Amino acid sequence: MFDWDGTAVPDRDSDATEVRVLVEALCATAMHVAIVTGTHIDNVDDQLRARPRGPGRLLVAVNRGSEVFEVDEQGPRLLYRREASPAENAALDQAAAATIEQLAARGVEAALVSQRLNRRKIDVIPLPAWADPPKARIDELLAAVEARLAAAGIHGLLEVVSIAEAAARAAGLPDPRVTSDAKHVEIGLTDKSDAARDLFSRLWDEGIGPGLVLVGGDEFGLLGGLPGSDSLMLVPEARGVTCISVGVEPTGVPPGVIALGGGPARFLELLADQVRRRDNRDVPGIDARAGWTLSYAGIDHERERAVEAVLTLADGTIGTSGAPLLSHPSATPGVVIAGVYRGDDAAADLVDAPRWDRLGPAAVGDEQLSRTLDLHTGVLVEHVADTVQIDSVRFSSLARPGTAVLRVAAPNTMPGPALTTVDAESDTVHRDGATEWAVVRGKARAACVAATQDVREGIVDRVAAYEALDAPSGAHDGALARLVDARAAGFDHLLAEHRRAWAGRWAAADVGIAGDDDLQLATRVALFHLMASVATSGDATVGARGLSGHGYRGHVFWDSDVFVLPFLAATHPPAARAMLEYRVRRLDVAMEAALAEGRVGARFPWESATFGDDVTPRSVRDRSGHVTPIRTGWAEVHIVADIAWAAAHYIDWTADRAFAEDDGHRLFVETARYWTSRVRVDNDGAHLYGVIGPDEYHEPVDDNMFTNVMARWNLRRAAASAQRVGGIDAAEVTKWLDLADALVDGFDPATGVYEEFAGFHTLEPLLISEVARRPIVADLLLGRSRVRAAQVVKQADVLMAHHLVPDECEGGSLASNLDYYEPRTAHGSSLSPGVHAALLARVGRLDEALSWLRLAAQVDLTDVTQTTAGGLHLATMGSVWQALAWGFAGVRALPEALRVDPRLPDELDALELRVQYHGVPVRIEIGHEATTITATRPVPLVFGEAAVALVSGPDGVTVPNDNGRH
Amino acid sequence: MDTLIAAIDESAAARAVVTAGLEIARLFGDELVVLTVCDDGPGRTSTEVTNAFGLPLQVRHGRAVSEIVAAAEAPDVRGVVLGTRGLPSAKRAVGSTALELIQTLDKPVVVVPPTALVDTGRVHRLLVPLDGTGETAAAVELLLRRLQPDAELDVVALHVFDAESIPAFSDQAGHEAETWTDEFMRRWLPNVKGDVRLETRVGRPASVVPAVARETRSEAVALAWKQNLSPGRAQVVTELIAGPDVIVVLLRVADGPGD
Repeated sequence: MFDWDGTAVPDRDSDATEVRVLVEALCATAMHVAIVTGTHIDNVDDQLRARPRGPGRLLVAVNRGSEVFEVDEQGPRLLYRREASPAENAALDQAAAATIEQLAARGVEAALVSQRLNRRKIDVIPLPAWADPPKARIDELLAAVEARLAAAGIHGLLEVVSIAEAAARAAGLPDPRVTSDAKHVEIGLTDKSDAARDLFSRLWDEGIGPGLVLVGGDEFGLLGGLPGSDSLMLVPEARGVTCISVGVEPTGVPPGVIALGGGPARFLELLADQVRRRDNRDVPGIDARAGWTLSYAGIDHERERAVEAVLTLADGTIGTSGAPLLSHPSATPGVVIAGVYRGDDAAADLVDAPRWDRLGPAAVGDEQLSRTLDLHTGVLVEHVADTVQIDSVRFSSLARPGTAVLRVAAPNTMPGPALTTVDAESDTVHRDGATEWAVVRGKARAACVAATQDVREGIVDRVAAYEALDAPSGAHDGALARLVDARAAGFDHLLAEHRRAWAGRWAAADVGIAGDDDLQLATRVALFHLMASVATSGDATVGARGLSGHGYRGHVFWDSDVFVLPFLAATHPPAARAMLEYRVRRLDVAMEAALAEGRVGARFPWESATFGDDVTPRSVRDRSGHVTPIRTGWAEVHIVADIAWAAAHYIDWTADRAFAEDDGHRLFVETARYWTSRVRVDNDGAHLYGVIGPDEYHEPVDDNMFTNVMARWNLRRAAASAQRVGGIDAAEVTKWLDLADALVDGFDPATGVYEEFAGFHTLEPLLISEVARRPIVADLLLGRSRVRAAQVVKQADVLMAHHLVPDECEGGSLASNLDYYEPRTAHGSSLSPGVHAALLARVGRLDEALSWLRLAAQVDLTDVTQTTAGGLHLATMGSVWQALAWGFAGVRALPEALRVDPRLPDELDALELRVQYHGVPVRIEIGHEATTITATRPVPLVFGEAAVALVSGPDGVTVPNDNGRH
Repeated sequence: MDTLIAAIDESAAARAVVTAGLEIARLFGDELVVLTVCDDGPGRTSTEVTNAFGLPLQVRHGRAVSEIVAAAEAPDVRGVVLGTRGLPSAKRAVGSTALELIQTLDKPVVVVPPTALVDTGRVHRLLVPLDGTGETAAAVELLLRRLQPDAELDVVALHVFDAESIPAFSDQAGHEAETWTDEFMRRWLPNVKGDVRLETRVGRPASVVPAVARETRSEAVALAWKQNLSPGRAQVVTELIAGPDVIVVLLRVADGPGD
């Protein structure tokens, strides 16, 4: 980002051919170039005449911050213009006239020289000798101006600026921008700071943080007591930039600015150096920014594998462990491919794919390694300072999922092959010239990978392309074609598009938390992995540990539908839709499973892998040494309603009619039909016998509240869908509604408490909160039989119904059930703390809510379970978002409106969420007193529980917080 | 080849000590040297036992503890094998000499009860309790890495959760134990070749470890400890060496908190 006049060119008449060549060369290497100038676009464009073909962007901010253009092959294109209102224009005229008048009264002749967009330019030295002074004579010019002003008793330019500012305010401009280049004083609505803010924001959206930006100018130091015009580029958003001045800078430069001098010639050398660095294939850096980067120095044997899981690079298609590039005995490198499993039934496990990230044969020492993951761009940098020296960046491309890219400067080690097999016997790497490829056979799906590397002058550029096939084996043509495409794009282009893709996802999904830096970072880590773990097309197979390890064998649980999907439905609907597609494509298998049970409809499996049949293990040797049967596979039937709930949730956020009327409708209907055949109707109502609820300490049970209420909701939602879409016999719909009404839910109006299942209240009234630290695996602590006979709850169960389907629960029953169940809950599942945080926030118990949220957010970062090595607790990460969004922000997508009902804990200063409601991006900024909601298009809103309909537009609405006073 | 010293006296345990000593020496590829400390000449039992095994008997004179410690100081000596008590029916489970030695020697000590290995003379299974600390794991790993390739020893690791160490979360029992076990073994026994099975239990280690040793029919248990027998410390060691039939391999770790 640089100033034009005096920095890139000596003056407006000079030849800018060299600049043009350099700018076009930089853009060709995916470098973005931003020019900031006070003049208008034609002046700059006529002089520069650059027509870059990308992929780097040429942005030109002109008219002193009032306009931003993008220049490409077709020429300049307006991106933004600040439009002054007639009143503002009149005020500018008035301010300029008043300034000239006041100077004249003091004996200084000044002249209005132009009335440009949003500003008025006054010449304070309208003398022929100083008609068009070159930049190099700035100090002579300044002396002449100061002498002229001093003769009139005016204290320099500073006083002229003060006069102009006062005149502007008097004219009705609350925030005037008055600047001076010594010869002129300008009164405007915008200045270079506005240009810089706009450009830094655009660069941020490209995945370019300030730490990657070079700011160049020639006037940073004080000029006549005023800040140099280029110093205006150093807005708060610029913190972290490298800033250089090539100007004369008669009064020196401010701290942080490097004074190089040398004028435009020196500046062009800098640009040429940047081109050279690209040509030399220098390893690029990252913007190491607090709140956005996660750094680990050295290798701690105990923590290493958990660290590697946290540093996983994934793109929804493949996941690669953050193990060091070089071998280390504590490391567990690995690549998994979404949906590609080996083995049958419960043994189904994600295949170990050939690895693209191995460098060898050297090993790395413990102390000499450092790794930093930039969450904003999904780039992992790794440095080794040992006998082997490594400087590297790598990423798994979010812009072209399945493509992995590595650049390493490793001057004194051999890189080894581009692909490394895990099991040399079954996975053969073939070599065809410079290309290596392998086919990995899975159970129903195979995967192919092709890779190549370019090793020159100590720099390794490696690209690998993975492709999952819908067949147990296959050819590698697809992977090869993707590899060829990626190679043709080149490293710089691949990095630029990847950074942009990540930045785009963050722009739609970030959660900003002011007042708790640890929680902020942990939340971003959670959101990063939620986004990275889910494909945005096809059928996204999302295992309990995502793409970050082999834990839970990659099996798909309700974790995906209920904990992961909601965040995506609210921020990136294509990913949520792809998750639903996983279920839709396995609906037939679920219908066969129902038939096999002697029932109808769709019986989705508790654990699912390739085919959609149940892959739940049948027994386990638990940690007390006992072999225990696992009954979740046949009894944890709430999964059926959970999947319908996920479909409804997606529809509520997106209003995706095509899905609602086709696949979504089928999901509702077939899941509802399952319940009709699963429910038993007695004289006292309809029942579900022999089920397991989320509280798996008690199994099997009758009339589990969560299961019954979810089934009831499922039947009603299917009926609503049938009434909307049609095609279902009216008698069947009536049957669903009657059955829903007949399902018992264990609610006691006298106490306001639901009974978790039939007989729960007769169990030993043991308060786990009084006998053990929590969270704790209570069945290990107390033994399975004791826990089964006591009122000890594993995780939110009754409360889970309040969490998912609050409208299906008795109004006002949340507080009483929290009071009753929370002390009885061991929180022995990592899904529990986040859900409780969300619910505690809803009833105003904000400090407790925050405490549980902090715990949930740290589960993997501190390896609370000592199982993060097996992969990240993706559902827990989803619960972190739910606690923030549903809990503290009170955000819910109603079919007809977006509800916002914030409760901000005292310990936090502010909370900012981004969601997308019915296709409209919405930003929600929550403070202690008020909330501001901004949307790019009008969105119907409900604020608080009161049905106050607000329509938000681009300027936003600010509403005082209700804080539960309704 | 390094040396293992079997220190015997005139008690009935002498035969068991030599039997166990020979077996431990076989497992780890050491040479067994039988030593007795006496005032005059060696007594009848020690002479008979060594003759029976066809082994020479080294004789030292003086105070038993000092002489055994002095003999063990030789750099090639890997460790010392001791008997716990004279007779299975003896009032005190562990003799004063043995108690002093296990707290003094800075090398591994194998404590042998009088009835150990009476049937087969072989150690088929070794139980290695791991408390989830690096120092215990390092001591155990050091021992296991010395196992001879043809030792044919089944090694069972054991971790006992107590109220303090029970995990916070276990999402799905069917998978959690597998994931946890993989990481536990990678973390604590990363370099041990061959299969080591991990058993986990919940309870008080001092009662659980002996019970699992019986349940798994382990003839020997290897324990890392800090040589501190003061009240409240080393309860697992105290419990095991007082027991009737398990050989206890005591591995010294650096002083510090814990047992």
